[in-house]
Amino acid sequence: MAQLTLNAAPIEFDGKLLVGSTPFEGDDEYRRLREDHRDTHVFRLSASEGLIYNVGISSDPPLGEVVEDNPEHHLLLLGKTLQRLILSFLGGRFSVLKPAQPLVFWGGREESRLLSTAAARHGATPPQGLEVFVKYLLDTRVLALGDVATLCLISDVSTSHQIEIPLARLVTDKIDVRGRWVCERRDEDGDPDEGLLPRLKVLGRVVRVEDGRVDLADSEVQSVGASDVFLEPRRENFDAVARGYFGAKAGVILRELAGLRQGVVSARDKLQAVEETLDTLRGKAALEIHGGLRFKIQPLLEENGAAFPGSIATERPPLLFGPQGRNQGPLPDPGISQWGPYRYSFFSKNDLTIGVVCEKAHQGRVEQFVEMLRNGYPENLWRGQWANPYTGGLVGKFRLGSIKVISEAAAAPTGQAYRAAVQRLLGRTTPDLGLIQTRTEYRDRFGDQNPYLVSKAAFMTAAVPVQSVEIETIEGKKGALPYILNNVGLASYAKLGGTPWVMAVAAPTTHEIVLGLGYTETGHRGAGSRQRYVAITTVFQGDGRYLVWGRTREVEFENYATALLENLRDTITYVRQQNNWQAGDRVRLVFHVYRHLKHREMDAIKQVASELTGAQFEIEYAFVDISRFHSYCIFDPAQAGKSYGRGKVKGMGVPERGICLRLGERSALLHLTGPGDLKTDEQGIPQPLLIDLHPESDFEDLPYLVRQIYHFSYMSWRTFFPGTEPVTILYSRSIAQKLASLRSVTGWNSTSVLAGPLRESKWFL
Amino acid sequence: MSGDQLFAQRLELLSRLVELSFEQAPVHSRAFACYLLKENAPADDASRIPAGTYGGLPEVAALGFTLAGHQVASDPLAAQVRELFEDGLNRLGGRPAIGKELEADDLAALGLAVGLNEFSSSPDANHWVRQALQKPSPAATWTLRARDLAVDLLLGQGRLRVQPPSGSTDVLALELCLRHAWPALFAGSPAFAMEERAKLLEHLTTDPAPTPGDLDRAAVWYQALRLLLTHAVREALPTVDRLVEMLRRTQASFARWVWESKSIRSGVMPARWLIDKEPHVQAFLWSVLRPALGDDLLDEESLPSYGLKQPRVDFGILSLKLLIEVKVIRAAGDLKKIEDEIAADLASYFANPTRFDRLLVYVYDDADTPAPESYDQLRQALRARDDRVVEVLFVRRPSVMPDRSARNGTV
Repeated sequence: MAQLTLNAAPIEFDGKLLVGSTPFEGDDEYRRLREDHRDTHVFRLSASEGLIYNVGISSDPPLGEVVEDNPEHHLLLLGKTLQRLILSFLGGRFSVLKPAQPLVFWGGREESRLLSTAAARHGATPPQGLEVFVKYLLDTRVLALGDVATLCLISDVSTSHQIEIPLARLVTDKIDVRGRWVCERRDEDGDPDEGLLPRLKVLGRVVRVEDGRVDLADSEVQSVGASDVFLEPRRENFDAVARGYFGAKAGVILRELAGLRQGVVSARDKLQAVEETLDTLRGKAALEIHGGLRFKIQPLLEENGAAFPGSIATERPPLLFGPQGRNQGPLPDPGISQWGPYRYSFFSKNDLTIGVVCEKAHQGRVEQFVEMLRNGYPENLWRGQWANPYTGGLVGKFRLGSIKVISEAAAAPTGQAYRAAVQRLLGRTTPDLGLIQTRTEYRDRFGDQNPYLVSKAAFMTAAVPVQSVEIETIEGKKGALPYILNNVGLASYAKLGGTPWVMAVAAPTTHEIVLGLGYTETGHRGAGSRQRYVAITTVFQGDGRYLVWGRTREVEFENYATALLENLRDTITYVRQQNNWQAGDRVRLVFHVYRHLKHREMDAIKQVASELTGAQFEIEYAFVDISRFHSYCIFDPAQAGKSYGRGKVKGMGVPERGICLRLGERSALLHLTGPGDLKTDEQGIPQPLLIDLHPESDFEDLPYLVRQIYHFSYMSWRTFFPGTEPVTILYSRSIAQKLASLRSVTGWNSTSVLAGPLRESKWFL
Repeated sequence: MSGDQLFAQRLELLSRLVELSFEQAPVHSRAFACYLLKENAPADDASRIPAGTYGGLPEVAALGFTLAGHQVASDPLAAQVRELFEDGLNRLGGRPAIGKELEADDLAALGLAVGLNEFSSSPDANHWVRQALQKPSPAATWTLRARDLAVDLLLGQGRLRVQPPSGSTDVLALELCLRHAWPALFAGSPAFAMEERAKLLEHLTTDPAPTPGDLDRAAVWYQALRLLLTHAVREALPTVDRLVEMLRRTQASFARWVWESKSIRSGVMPARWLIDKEPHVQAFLWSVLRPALGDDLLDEESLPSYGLKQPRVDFGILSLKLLIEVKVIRAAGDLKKIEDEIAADLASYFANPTRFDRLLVYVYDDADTPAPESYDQLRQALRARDDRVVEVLFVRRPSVMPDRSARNGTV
């Protein structure tokens, strides 16, 4: 096994800990206490004891009853204290974006200004306010290392765009800002800490800029002063502004910048930067509190060290294919090529119709694409090193019977023209699948202006699932086309109601239902019009395999608990009947969620399950939080990466897919993007999933649950590549995203996905 | 590469494929492979009995195969398997979509049928499986014959009497395996012709082999090739039993013995194959054995004598270490004489047991008044004297041949 490294440095304590305690007398009193002593003390509430503990971080002693205590009894308080000490060290030296949990700041050295460095190498200087900074992140966590609770300092490094040039100046400098999102720096409390940058607040999308005012859409405010707002620091905005200022040199500067950026986010460079950050803190920061307790930052956790977290072994799940579903293999693509999709002999749609809607100007190329989708990528055109991945097409590879294609061309690239084309096509017949040719630029169009959304709504209202393909994809690199066709063929087959493969279950010991909750946001992050939607995907076990049951529509976030309970009720009723549960059987309900469920929600879940099943079954619960938003990184310095392209290597220092580290009894990191899963060498080190098992769970086999999540990442039919999330979350988010985007189309009603042929279709892939 | 090497390599390959595919295969595929291959199946954890409670149709079908493979009366696990199977059947019977599920899996259908066939299950359980199997056969898969067998086991519809529609390697191989495992059910089926066997053998050795992950085909191919080769070896290489059987059948071959009463061509004497003395019988046997045994057959000229006074034995077959002694009965009293002669020579027959250690006595009964009731007496007497006397065969002369007293040369 490679020598893995985790970006967590254990903290050792030296000296005496003096800790004070005062009784908890309400939230207001607690808040006042914190505010009154914000510069001198750090507090932590122990709700179970009804006490507020504190330490002094200046010359002032702790408040209340002061005792000398063992630091191990106060690790969470000391974690907060360490962040506070580091913040004090940073204050005035660095721009701090976030003061704690995690603490985030921009690098202060000249080399941390990546755009300036890149521009200087080509004799240019960026305008004031336009920069790419190296961004540092520090957090504290208590990990169970060798079964000993240990305070660790987590350190991460990334890059961050800054476009703090007033919009008025951008307009003066001839930068086109129309359609772009703007924001302002504003502290919600109106009283920012010293050295702390006020937060960015997204305001809305620019409609026009006139007379020093900016008119906004999708916003709570109609207009703002052009001198008060900035473009949102997103990559596309940054590139547009950089191109505007650097002119002819922009291309070469942005390429230089990409190289510098890679030198921060790639595994090896990031690990080096993390170690340098910790070295700086060790050498320069005063990490000592009143009473004499010193924080000593130890080296990062490495695999050969005794304290390194234990691992959970994972392996690919067996997948089932073939005419009767008994052929088994670990790889989906060869499995389907060799044996055909799962139980294809019993797939009812063997003579089917694909309805194609495309722009008139692209009709010929789209029809060629559809012909290849139907019959496969021609062998005489295949130039690859390995076997042609799309031999036979939907007819040969996916064992479908005859496929008829009918087409309608849209006279113009508009929503109106596309809608008319779909209606003409539906007037001729109701196809089994609608294939829509789109353009990349459609992605930015909203509602009825978006030909893709309009066409999709029209098809799906007629219960026809939809597959889209951008003309830029069709006309992209020739070598990529067979692989694109392969994935489009896979998704199309699933949308038609086919089952490409299923995952086998060996010797199950319980009935099992897994419900996953995924979400999406429409509008814009931080803007007033933003709305969050959730959807639910269910996977259940029966007859030696896992099956996906995705009969759900999107719901507003506020109603997710109700939707979850309704879905649970439907699923239990359906699966209980389908599998004929008997009194005394064991039933396991697993919940994959992206956020902690509240206690009252878990109680409601148990109540619903109990109502439906009475006391007939032994029910156990596992509530599992699955998150991509955390500060952990796993490095594999010995990983040499994978060769690709012409002499390129990707994924150096990136751990293999499936590596899993156990951070505690209920917590683990699961790495789902290995070196081979990365697309290019420009991608930074991917983050693992953080898996937390809620204490409310009474099924506590963490390795089982982690392996299940790992296995579920192989169940997605969106592409042949394994997913970076379990299908329970991935599909749910996809359902929520697709349906939420369709809400902007006039006349759309998402109940159509719950009835008719779409009930059985994986239309959301 | 010789034929032997080719077969050995192919068997090795198929055995390895079974091994490779076994662990991850669906539980009823594993159970079917074990049922077919018996002691040639990969070692499975014997304590791992499919649970049936939570695994649904595949596990209950696997229990069916397991049940059929156990010697129910003696196996301590059998009662447990039976209980689980019955419970599993009841669970499955209460599922709304079980018919559809069963329709999609021929091996699962067979597993339930063979399990049910092992004992009389509750009428309800029996009823739903029968109901489900009564539907016409669904998609034409290569395992359809397994479903036909399931139907005939439970419903006796006679589906096996109809030749399977496709002659693909998979279909033929499965047919051969199923016929071997359930011979009685195929009694009314058209014979598995030698040409088909030859064709199957060719395809099993030259077609691209199944790939890892395809346990059903690997197991069926492996078993079919083993069956074909075992059969071919039996046919090609004689055994003592087979030789005894061949010589026993010489009696039936006399049915078309030639003995013309008069010539059918003028100027040519009538054809009459007279056997009148021991050398004639020897010549007849030579003509029967020589084509089958070739140089493995030695006549008395090539065999050593055992002393000045002892006669040479008539035939020897080296590979079987078997001697054949020919005797002729001319009158009823000759039986005692034959017993004495053989008894006297027994020691000398086996003087060199490394070369010959078994004796077959071929007695040609040419007596005008035969005494078949005495045959057993002689047989038992000789075998009692020495158990190396493997058989004493009696063959009556052809019925068309005249009595000894009537062989005067006139018509």
